[in-house]
Amino acid sequence: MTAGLISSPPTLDEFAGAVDSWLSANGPDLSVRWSVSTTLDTQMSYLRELFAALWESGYSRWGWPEAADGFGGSPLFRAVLAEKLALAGLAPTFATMPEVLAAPFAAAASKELVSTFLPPYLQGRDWWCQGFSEPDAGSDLASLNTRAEPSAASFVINGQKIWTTLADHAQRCLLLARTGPRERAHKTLSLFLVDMDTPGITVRPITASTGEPEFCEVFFDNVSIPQDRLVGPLDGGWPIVMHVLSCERSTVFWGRVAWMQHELESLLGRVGVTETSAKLIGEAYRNIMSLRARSRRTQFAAASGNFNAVESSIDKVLMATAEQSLFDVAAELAGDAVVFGESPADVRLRKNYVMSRVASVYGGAAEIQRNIIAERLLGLPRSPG
Amino acid sequence: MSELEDPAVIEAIRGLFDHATGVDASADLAAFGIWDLIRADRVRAVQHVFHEQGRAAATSDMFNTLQQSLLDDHFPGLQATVALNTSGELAAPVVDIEDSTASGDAFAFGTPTRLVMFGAGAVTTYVAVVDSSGPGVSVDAVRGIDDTQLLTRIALHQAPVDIVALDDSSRRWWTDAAAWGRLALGWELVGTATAALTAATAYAEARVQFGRPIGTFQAVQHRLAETLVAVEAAQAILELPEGSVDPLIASMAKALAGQAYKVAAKNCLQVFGGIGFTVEHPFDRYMRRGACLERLLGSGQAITESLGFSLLHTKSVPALCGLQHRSGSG
Repeated sequence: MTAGLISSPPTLDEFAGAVDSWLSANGPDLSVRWSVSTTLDTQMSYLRELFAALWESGYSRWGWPEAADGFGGSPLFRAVLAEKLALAGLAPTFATMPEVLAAPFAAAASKELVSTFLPPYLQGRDWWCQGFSEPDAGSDLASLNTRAEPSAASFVINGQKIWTTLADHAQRCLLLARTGPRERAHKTLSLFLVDMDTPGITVRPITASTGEPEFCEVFFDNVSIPQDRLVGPLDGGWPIVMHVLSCERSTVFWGRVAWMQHELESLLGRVGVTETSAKLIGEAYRNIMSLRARSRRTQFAAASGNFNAVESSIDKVLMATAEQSLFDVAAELAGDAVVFGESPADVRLRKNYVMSRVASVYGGAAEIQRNIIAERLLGLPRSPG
Repeated sequence: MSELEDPAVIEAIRGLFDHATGVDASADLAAFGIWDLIRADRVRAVQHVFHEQGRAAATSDMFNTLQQSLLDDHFPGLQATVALNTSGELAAPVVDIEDSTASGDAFAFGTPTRLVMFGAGAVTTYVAVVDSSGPGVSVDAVRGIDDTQLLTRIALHQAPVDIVALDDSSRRWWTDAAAWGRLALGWELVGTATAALTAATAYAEARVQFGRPIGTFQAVQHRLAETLVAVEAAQAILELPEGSVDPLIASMAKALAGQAYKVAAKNCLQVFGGIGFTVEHPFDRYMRRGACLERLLGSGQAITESLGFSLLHTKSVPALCGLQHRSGSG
């Protein structure tokens, strides 16, 4: 099967069929391992093994550029793979993070950086984190303060990042730092790929309301990195970051919505048939399917190079609405399990419920998305200040 | 390539409704050759005509024309107007039929001479045809919330009917008729929501209070942004059909289009303030028209609940659409 896939590009149908076959052969074993992976630590180990196996099989190489050891072809291959894994309930939600970080990186970074660093990431040997937000720069990201000063053959980085998802598991950080006067806002920001074991980096995990260290603070104290770790042009980080954020608000959701479908199906097994449950389940289904249809259109637009990044704000609002609606319904119809339950399935449902509360915050708060929609899509005048 | 992929043709359809605001566009549509377009590319004909009809809050015989084209496929030679219900359940009868007589209420677009309806008895389903001038039939214009003579109410009391089909063939027709009807109503609802949003956005840019356009206030911006999100969500589903229409997609499209209309009606009125609450303002007509369309063939809420029951009974979550089955995508 693998050899056949490599020799000529499959159609999307053939690819989907081949992934299905792979999943029916490997799914049962993966399912057992996934079901006992109840902490972020064990889930990350599981994910690295999954990535390695998928790379070995060849399936996860389709849709990634040849410079990254991929087989090339449409990014829709990646979307179909993410969908199949999520529908089978075999991947944590953060399995799609490379879709956010690696795809824009592959488009912006030098061939050397891409060929050196992407393959280990996609193969599960390395993990990456996104060093954007700071204590004083959240929604207003362009006001950030972390500095990267050029010095001989290196940049010296000083500052602090926060809300850095899974930084304590990461070997690399895609870091946004200031390389010029702060007054010039987003025009003096540059992007770097930083090794997390560089001296001067301190990572402090933060326990989130899920009870797990979902994200970290990352401190940079005179961290010296080689000049060739600059990604894209000096002072040219902002457009790449906009690309990253538009992926985080759009293309990544094809896998996310499949995960929601899987979670909704699990919920169906827990609730009785009443008018109330029918109404609530119907509403969650409606919200999930509106995201799915929207996301499908986004996938086709992105795959053909016609995607307008500003449009991703609509996908993000639909995603937060669908995810919160799904787990609101779970909390309404299976409230005892969500609040008091102790079985592994209950604990997982509770974490998903708690995690869904923040879906309207991360990747750009819902209010910021609505500002963008109002000003950039509807053309309303900017609000002052 | 379908003629209806040509932007000039789409623009021309929009033009037909430019002068039709609030009036009947049937004659213009017929002269434009809409019947041939429905025959050639039903999905796009439905999309563009109903979308523009909604944007103009106009009326036409397009719904009946669409349904007649389906009757031609299922029952060649049968000329009649389709009776509509307000149920989210596909199998819910418009009328109860006993001894080849029908009793019950239904709606129809325009003033029908012959009415075709789906009916269900205790064990069988029927397609029945009734002469609207016959005994036991009364036909009245619906005033209701939208008194533009959009609809008629047909009251049947033991009216003699011709049974033209039974069971499977009757259900096949009604499944098709309801799906295409929901798609058409969905596009028209999204058209009304879009027109209301466009007008409210323009108003927010022009209306000055506290020395600045009210569109600069986030509270106003966010209402309009939410409306665009609801419109886009519905439109993404409405755009899924290619060639034929899946009944589940049509139901979901109608539910989301109804939601988009309700979100638009609520938020746009709030942006307009008092001026939107008068019969002198176009918004008033969009609000009324949408309220009618939202009820026909199942309100968004009724369809949503019906889909919820279906999921709970089957314990599965139908995906509606995928990436690999799309014409031209390989």
